[in-house]
Amino acid sequence: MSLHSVEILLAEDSAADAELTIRALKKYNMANDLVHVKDGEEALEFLMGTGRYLSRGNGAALPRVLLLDIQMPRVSGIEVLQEVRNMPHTRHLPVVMLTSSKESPDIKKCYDLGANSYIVKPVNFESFAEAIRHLGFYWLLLNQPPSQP
Amino acid sequence: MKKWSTFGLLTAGIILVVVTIGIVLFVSIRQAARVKDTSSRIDHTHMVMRSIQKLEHASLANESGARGYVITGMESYLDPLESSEKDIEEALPSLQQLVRDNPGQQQRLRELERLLQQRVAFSRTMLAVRKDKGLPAIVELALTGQGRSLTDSIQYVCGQMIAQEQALLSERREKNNLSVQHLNSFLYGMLGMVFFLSLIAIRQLKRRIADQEATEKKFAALLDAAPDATVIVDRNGIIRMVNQQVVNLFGYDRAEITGQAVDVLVPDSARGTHARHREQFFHSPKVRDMGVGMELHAVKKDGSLFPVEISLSPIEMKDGWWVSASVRDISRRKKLEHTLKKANEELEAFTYSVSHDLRAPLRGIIGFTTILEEEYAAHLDEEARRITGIIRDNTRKMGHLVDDLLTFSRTGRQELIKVPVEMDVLVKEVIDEVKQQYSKMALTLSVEPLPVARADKNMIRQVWVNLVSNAIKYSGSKPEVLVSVGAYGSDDTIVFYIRDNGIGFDNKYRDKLFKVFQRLHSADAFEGTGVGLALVEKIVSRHGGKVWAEGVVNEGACFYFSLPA
Repeated sequence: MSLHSVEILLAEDSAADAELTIRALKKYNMANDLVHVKDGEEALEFLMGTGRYLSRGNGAALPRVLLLDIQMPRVSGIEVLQEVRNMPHTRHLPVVMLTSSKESPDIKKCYDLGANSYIVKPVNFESFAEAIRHLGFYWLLLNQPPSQP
Repeated sequence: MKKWSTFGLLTAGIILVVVTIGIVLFVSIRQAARVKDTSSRIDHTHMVMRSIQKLEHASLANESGARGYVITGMESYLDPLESSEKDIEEALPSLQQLVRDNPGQQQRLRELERLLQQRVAFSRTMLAVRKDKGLPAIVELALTGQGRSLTDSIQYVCGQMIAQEQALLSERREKNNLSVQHLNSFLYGMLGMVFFLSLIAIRQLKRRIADQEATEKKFAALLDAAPDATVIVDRNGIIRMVNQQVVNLFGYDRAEITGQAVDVLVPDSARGTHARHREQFFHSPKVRDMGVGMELHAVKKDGSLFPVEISLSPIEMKDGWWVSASVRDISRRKKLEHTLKKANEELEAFTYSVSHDLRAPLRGIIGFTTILEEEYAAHLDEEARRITGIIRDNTRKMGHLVDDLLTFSRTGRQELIKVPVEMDVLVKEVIDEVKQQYSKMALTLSVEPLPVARADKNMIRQVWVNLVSNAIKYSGSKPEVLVSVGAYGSDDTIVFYIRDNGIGFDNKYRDKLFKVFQRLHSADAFEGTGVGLALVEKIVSRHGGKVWAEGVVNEGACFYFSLPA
């Protein structure tokens, strides 16, 4: 695994959604340093440097933002968020929750757990791409991340 | 007949007895006095009679003394003569005294006095004649018969006086007997009356007691007929009465539970608050439900808890307020509520997953179609691009449909939070927002002053968004769109309306307007999912209002909705 710094960690189980997200980011040149993990378990392994990402080691550099889909098999986005907020070195990691539905009963829960943002993915691709562009622009360029431990 | 209270009846009886005893006592005392009076009268009569007899006797002694001397000339005959004179002198004033209140006797007494004086004078005359003239002169005097007639007269008057006294005495006796007889009849009458009244009073009391027993029985029957378990408790929390349903529900015998503290039916955890609430209830006793907004439980004899609903009614008893508590076992309802809640949760979860799972593939279809159009534009001809356009369009519509359906389903379940809403402000906001989507049209929107209404702000906003959008959308074919909003109302209802000059509708279809997926115009002519007005109807009816509409084809439509004021 490359050791250069990762800008975006995308945790998304749907291959189609992941591809659309990556394509939208690519369009605006923001997908160069993106890692895509396919479920919550993998996301945690990446962040903690365990399992498949043992080589990254504990305390490896964190992404500037974690785009976290809520509905994922095995370990859901909410559980990942909880874990991230519990661990000292990931506590301040910016986390953007992604969901397909505004019907979700979890919005409040996500904010309670310390999500930084909560985005409903639009059906319309133009809107979706626009949303992703804003996301990338905001979190990669505008937002000042916490200094690494 | 006037209805007497049992207490009144008893009081009246006691008063009657006391009065009767008083009257009997009074009459008896008076009678005793009269008897005493009568006996003193009898004594008096006897004294009068003795006095008369004494006088009569003295007159005879006087006569015989005089005669003895006249005949024998012996001085010894003069002693009785003189003592008889003395007796007469003494007896007369005392008799005078005794008959002073009887004019008849007084008159006779005067006559007797005169006769006695004549008698005494005659005796003296005889003595003088005998001394002076001798025996033969006496014979001559005796032959006049004067002495004989005097004696006869005296005896006659005395007899008359005694007879008079005896008559008086017997008259008095007679009167006395009569009054005793009267008194006796009076007393017997009194006794009879008291006996009679007592009989009536006892009968009344018996009937009263029977009535009371019947009332109590009726009350118990009524209590048993009540559908809910009813526990009647006094101010100290003691169970005074229960009905059959309590026996069935709690498993206690009637006799076993009556007289116990009501706490035995209350869960341990609630006992402290229960006593406090009972005190508060008796402080201002009125019909109310117990523990509004609280989950109440009761304890059966076997110790098991079950959910209950309790309503309280105060009962005024002779020893203060009691409370009648109707206890309803709501286990079944709680179970149903639980089932319903679970069903609702399932529905919510279903809605959520539908929303999520339907949207995700749609996003894929649109997304990749767009990518195809953008990144493979060189490989696509005109027709291919038209087709990818149709794919995207349809998918987008499907997305709207999913969104609208979800909104519709959510609206039915969401809790209403009613607040005062300034409709003026809200409608203007909505118009400004909706207008932007139709910036190419010539719009004239007017809003009359609107009242404040109590409503869920978000939901009522959705109503206005849908109605304003509809009004503009269905007026799109007109060169100039005129939309006006207004309101009118009565004491209990406010009606809001929105009028447009659009394509309108045929009034015969107006019932179909508010049904979900019912459309009066083709989707090609006017875009839409057929959910908007159904949503309006649902929101308004959840607020307790109504929706209706009037339309004229090609001239316009007016939509109304009412809200409770």
